[in-house]
Amino acid sequence: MSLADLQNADSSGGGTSRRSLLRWGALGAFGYALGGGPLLSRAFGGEQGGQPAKALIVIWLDGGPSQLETFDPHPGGKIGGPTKAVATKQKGISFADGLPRLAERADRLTVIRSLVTKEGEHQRGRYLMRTGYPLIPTVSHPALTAAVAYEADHRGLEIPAHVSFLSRQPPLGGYLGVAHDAFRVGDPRRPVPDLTAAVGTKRFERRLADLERMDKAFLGRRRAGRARHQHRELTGRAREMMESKQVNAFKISEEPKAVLESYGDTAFGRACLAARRLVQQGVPAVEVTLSGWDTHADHFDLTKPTTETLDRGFSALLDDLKARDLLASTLVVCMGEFGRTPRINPLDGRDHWTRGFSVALAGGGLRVGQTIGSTDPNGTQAPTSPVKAADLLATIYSRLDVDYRQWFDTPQGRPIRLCDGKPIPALLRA
Amino acid sequence: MRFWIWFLIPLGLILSLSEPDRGQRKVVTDEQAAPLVAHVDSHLTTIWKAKALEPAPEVDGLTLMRRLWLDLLGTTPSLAEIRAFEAVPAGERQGWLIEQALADERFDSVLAERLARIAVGGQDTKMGDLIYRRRRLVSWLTGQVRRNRPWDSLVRELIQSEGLSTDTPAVNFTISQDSNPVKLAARTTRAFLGLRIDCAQCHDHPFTRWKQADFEGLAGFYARVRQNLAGVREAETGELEFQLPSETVLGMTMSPAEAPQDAAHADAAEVDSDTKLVIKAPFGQPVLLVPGKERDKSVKSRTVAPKVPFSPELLPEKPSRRAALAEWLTHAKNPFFAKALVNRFWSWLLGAGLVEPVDELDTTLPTDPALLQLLADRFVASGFDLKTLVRAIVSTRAYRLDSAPAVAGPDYDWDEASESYALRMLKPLRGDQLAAAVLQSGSLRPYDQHRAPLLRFANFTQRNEFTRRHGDDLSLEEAQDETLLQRLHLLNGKVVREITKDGEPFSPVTRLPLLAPTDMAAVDAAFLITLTRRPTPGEAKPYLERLGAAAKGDARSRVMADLLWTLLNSTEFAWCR
Repeated sequence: MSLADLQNADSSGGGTSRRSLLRWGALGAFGYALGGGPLLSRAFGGEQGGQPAKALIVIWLDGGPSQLETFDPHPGGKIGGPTKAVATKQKGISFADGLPRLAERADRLTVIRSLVTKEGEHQRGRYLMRTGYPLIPTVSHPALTAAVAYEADHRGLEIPAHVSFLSRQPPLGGYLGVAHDAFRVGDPRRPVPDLTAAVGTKRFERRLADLERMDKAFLGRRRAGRARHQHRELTGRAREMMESKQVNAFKISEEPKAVLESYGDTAFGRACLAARRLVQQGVPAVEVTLSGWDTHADHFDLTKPTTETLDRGFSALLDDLKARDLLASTLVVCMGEFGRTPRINPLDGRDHWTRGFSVALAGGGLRVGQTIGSTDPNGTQAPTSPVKAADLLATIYSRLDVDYRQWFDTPQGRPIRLCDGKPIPALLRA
Repeated sequence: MRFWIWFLIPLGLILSLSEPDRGQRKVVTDEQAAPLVAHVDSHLTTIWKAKALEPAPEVDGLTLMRRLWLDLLGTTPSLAEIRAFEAVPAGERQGWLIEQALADERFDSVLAERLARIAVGGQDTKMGDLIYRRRRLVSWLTGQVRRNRPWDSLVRELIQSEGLSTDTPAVNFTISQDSNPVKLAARTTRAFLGLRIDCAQCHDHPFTRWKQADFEGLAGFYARVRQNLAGVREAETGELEFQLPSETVLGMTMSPAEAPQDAAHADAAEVDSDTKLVIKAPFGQPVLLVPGKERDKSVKSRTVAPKVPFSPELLPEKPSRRAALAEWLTHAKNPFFAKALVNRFWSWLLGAGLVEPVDELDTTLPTDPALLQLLADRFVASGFDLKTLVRAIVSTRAYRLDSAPAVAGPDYDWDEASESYALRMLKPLRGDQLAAAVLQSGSLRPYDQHRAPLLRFANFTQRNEFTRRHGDDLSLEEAQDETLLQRLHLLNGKVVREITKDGEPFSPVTRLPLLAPTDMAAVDAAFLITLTRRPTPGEAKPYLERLGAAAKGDARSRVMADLLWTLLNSTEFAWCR
């Protein structure tokens, strides 16, 4: 196999054999001798020990969740407000009293309490936490979930590899291309729209045959590279998805009532359940959004129901994944664009806060039952062991066996690393 | 109709009454455009000769009509318009089409939306219309375009306006960038000069002459922009202050084995020693210090004075910094202002700019530098006349060339042919065009024009529903690749489903076989309302057979529904041929 073959395999985008080719190439040092150093240098799960994770579920808390009302309470002082702390199953760690169920499961979580960024605006914060890069107009970076789906081996998968539930701004493929944008889905209570043909099977087949004939005639005379690759290919993929039994992964109604109820009667809960079903089906990257965290006024009352929704859904997801033996191979990360100010404003709200907020992780072979970094109970000092967004992403990528240091060329030809961070040693098993 | 629509009627009436300004409408004449057309035609003919390229044949009238309608009116022609076209004597058709398209008021809205995409990009509102109103800006632009206000004067107003988003719509340009000097400088250079000086925001640009100081100097012109509830204004004092973030890494090191190997990458890196390479980018982004807000005292800051990155002699003395910048920017001698616009319009109408991406005039060599210069010079000489430029470009021979070559032998050079505009590029429809074209196919008359306000309002909601599901990123000047979600939406989604439903009394599916005198005429019409062409005998045959075999009206309308569905889902429909 020549280097050109490897590169072609790479540039075809989303091809199923790319990853195995790259691995194959990386086996020998002669890969470097061919001049394909960066292309072939892949991180192995083995680098950090343990089997790499296969799937990623991002629980995206949109609006900027308060660390103080979730994973990093500071009760009693000036900044704590009415929120109390509850002891968790993990000795020495306490969560806010709005998360009693997750507190019971703290031994399965790692909480980073010291995320520090410079992006206190929603769009920019969202972009940074999802991509690991600040938002700049010159290049559009892929979201974490997009890159994981892009890199994953999805042979045999007939449904999208990158799915986003309940999001108004779904994660995008960036320079990897719109083909890697998330497939947007709403509340799983309703079926995925547009998957049923308007006419019976026989008639639909005839329509498609007519369509194929018409497209062939049109494209035959033209060099329609993009058109040929896209429109027709997508019709094929759409048809494959329409006919696929794998779509049942979206049908949470197939679950026993007890399972359904454990996730809570909310769109978010149902989406968490659907995420588990998708992962089971082999989907490598799912994002589930829970919004309602942007509480500049009346913070404590408004946060309560949202926190409860999170507590139920996230806890049920952890139990369910564990019960199905999927937790070790599925990395779950719960984060938002930033945290909220320690200071409580005159409207009883908390504003945007970037200097020390929390992210919770579970599964995926990460070291759990710990916290990383701590914030000042008075809300003035910088947190200990600060963690950057890019480092968080590098950690996740490396557990998913994605070579986060690999180079990509943007459409403008600028070389750029998938991620510029370094994995956080404390999260990786020794 | 659902009951709630009746509650919306008053709203619909209000919407329909708050139309853009109805001033004297300007339609440019053929005489104004003719000199530029002649220049471009003779220039390209020379190029084709020199490169021994056989230009593709010119397209027929219907294809030209489809192009003009999609480009200038944002949708496909209706059957009624096609019939009117076919009544025009053969020798006059081409001129008639151009005249007709430019005279249509839909052209003003399309052009205005085009300019808005250039100027402010995507975001529709901020804080629910309270602060920023893109739609207000577009409707103001529509009024300006209607009178054919010159581009330089429009841009000056966008840059230097003061006031509220509602009563001075041009300030929405400033508000769209949050009145932030850094964002405004980036947007200004990209939109109006076609340059990416903002790449130099974090570091001196590795490939071009731009320095960080060039970018910051430009931002300095916006240092005194202030925005509050009373709108946008320019203060009399104030300077920009930047500081580098304390933990900025000035360069990254890596081993040569890790570093990219090819020449393009090598430019971005330099060898520091035998074992290390220093990548010059990315650097940390300097932080704009806001007066009154806390700052990092451990790092020194720098104050930045306004300074233009080139042609300082064009910068006038003015009390308002933004007014001075606007004069410099739109000066006839500014080497990039006219080029940026003509390149964008060429790209819009011909499918590929002379420089792509359109905001890389400084880093990418034009495919045809002489043509770019020619268009720019003429545009300046015309007094930055937008409609004359459009009229000229759509009147060139290049605009009329087919997207398929007459003969494509094995040695036909596709790249050379399209780069020299001897072959027309296929263009995918943008989200808004696709929505309009799909909805147009459900009606035999122009979908949006001269309709009762109520119907227009119903159209508006229908179109919104389509774009909500399909997506239309307003920041994009050109179409993005299609997604699976969009493909599914056209295959099985509600709008196409309704248009191709048999048994609906007013849908083309029912009406065509009833109205058409023969089966052939019905099939013809289905092709015309979707692809703006007649079928080939081979394409028509299976449908004629099926219609012939279907005795009853229901069975016939099922055949028509299948045909229409297939046409709407074809590659040809989703592209402008």
